[in-house]
Amino acid sequence: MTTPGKELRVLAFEDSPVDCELLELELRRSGYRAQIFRVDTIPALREALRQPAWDVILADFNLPGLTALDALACVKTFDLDLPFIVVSGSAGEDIAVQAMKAGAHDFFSKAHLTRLSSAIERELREARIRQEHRLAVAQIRETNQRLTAIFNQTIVGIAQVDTSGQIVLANARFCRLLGSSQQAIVSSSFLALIHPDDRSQAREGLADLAVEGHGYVTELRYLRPDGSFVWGGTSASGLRDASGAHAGLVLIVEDVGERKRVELELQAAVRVRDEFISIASHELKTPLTALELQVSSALGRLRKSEAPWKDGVEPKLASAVRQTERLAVLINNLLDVTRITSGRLNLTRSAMDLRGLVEAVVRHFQEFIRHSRSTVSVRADGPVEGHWDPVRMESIVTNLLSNAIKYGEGNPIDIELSRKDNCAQLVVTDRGLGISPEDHKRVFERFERAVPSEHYGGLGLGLWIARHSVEAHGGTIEVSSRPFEGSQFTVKIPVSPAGVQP
Amino acid sequence: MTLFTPLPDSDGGGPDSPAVMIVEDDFDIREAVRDVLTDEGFSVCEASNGHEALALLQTIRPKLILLDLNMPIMNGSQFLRMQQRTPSIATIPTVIMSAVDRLQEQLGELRPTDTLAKPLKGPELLSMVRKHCS
Repeated sequence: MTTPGKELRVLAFEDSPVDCELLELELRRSGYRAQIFRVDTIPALREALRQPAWDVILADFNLPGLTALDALACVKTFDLDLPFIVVSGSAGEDIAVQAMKAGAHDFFSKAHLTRLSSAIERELREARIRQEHRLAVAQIRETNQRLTAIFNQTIVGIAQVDTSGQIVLANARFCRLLGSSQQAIVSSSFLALIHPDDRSQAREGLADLAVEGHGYVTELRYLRPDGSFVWGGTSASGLRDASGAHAGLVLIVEDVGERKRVELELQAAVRVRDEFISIASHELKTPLTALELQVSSALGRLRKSEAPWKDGVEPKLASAVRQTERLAVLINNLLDVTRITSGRLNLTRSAMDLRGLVEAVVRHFQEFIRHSRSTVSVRADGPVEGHWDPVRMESIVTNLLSNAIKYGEGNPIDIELSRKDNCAQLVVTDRGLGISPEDHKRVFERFERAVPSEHYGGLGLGLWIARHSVEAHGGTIEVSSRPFEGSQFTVKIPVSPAGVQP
Repeated sequence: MTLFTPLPDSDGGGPDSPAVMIVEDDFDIREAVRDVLTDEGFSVCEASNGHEALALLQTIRPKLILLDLNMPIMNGSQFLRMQQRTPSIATIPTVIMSAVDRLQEQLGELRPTDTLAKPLKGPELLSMVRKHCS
């Protein structure tokens, strides 16, 4: 018993049922389990071809009033890739040639059918290869279409630059960004598209990229044909060919014009604000100088005088002195904020005595201290000398002292100065409101205070400024405090800049 | 060319020379500084710009010059440069009073004896003057 062979679906264009049976026998002998469907007219053939059911067409050459060529012509009207083999009882070599020319895949005489099966096998294999090839091509075409769509529809501009610096490929977005046509952009030099002021930067960046191969990210101005330019956030990366050799660059360009515009506007606004505050502070300080000196000398004169109206005027003048001092602190803080936020807190160091400075500040605040009913004691074993910026140091002492007076509830305030190792230590202690532990960090931030602003005035800047001034000197500031018991601020500042012997 | 003929170099002013010269264009500030100093017994003279100050220095020799920076006709840095180039008055201590944010940038290579930041405070002004006039 033979094993069931390979299934083969045969469409036979044949007028003789007997010949069909012979074909089937021959195929079975060769190991095929053939199912043969016989047609002998063109309409029947056409009808059969509509079914996707065939592996091979075997066609007799001569049928009544028809030849295999008519069948072949009919098959060709279908988009099928079926092996078409002519099997003829009578036809000679000339007919074979004719059939092959018309597109038949092979030709056999009915008298020599022994090689038919191997021919079918070969044709089936080739048809399968053709089919796989067609599928692969279709797949490549489809992938290509998809990538092209992605390339063109992506919202960033993409361009490829060859090793000579010419653009060889640019997507639709890139062209739209530059307000130019694909034709004009492809084959133009990349650097020619860059604003002249940015060219050397771009050239260097791309040259480095070619050598080192890392990504290069920058912002460049791209020229448009109308003379305007557009800011392009540009990422460039090196391309390598299959052998690993440098093969140019891929550029990804994003329109950052809007962001850039906002950025520049913001910078300009910050600059204008800083300049305004700086000028305003200077302008405010000039009249304040006259005011401060006049009211304090008037108060001094009044206190020495024996005028009968002295008692009525003195508290008013003392109040004017306090308010003037307060104004001076506010103006200085305003200027400090500008310095800090614009990164201009540069130190001008000179040799100075911190104790002398603290005493001067306390003296200066005497009207305030008197009014608050607090007393301020300054304790130091001797001068505390170092190389610091006197203006910044005064700002630290002023802000810590005015803080202690403000929140000290009229209780005594202690200022202790000492020298510890290579640092000067300044400790300001009040016995007032205090600060809850969760607020200890916050009080050094800008516009922060540990109490509601409705209850205590001020800008909420003092400790923030003090912290920045301390840090600019390489020092630290800390607070320890308990609510309703008072606060203690400890400042430690190196007596000389790091690396410099005192 | 010399702009003026200064007094011969000497260690302090003559009996008639005031202790402090205030060079300041703002009348109110000048008056306030003067009041603070005279209340404490210092003698003062005043100039409203660098040019006037140089003219005055031909006849008097103060122990200290308090100098504003921004002034018309001849400003503080111009005055300081002239003063430091003129040997006979170069040794008079000069203290700059200014509200300028970055003072050293404006002064360049010029080195005043001391500086006082505006707004001026009475006690600091006085201790500065005592330091140089005692």
